[in-house]
Amino acid sequence: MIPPADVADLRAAFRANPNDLGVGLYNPTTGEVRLGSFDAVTQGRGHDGLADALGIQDNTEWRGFLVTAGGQFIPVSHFNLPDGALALAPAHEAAVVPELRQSSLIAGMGRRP
Amino acid sequence: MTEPVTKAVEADELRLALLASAKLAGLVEGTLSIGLPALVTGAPKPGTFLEERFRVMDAFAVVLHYVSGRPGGVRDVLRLREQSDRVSAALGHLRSQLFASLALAGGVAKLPEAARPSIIELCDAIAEFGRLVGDGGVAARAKATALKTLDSLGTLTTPLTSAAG
Repeated sequence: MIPPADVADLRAAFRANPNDLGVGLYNPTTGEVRLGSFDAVTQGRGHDGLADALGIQDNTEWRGFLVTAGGQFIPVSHFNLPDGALALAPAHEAAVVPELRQSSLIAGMGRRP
Repeated sequence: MTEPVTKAVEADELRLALLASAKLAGLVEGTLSIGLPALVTGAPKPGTFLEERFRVMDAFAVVLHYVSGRPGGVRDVLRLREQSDRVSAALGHLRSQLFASLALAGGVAKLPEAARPSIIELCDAIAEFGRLVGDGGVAARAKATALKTLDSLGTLTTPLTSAAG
């Protein structure tokens, strides 16, 4: 489950700036999903900024993605490179998308055209 | 390599310069780690994302340019301003290249490999400014992240987004 405070903060950031981005991190080992506003939480540094803000010690344990205010899920981050690509691995995407849907941050299932 | 200017600048101005250069380096890291893939995939909308990011980065470059020194420290301040000019020029060049690649491609760019020298120049310019005021480590990390992302853009073969609704 995504911490409700993460979701509430991100919604507030989206209301203030619809062009803001939700930066997301997923830990495949623990199942944790964390979110933060690109502008207001990551200090404009993206996934590295969120990892630092959360006190994450080992970035290689986490994978990354983005969500937009319009409900678009973007499964791309350099945090995914340990799996060999910028794109989030399908198995990880399958774990993250339901969490985002449950939080109503995205409405549709992720898909790979 | 020239000496840092830490003796020629008041403590508050030095702190401002350090914080602003580190912040700018972080902004470069966030802009390129998300913006470069966005150029290829189209998500988030690269034009909108990059426009806002460059607006903010340009503002921090202006802050770097207006760091002042102690009496007798003008030559050191001018060295700082040479570096801040270099940062601004590098920002402008990178911005032009990224938007040109976007315009040529009609919304989704091909791999923006041509931007590599501009990315290196921007990060090196911020790192050198940071070194002059006492630290350049954040810029080195930004450079590593940006180049790692650029090197991996070939792994993005198709748009990888889901629509809302």
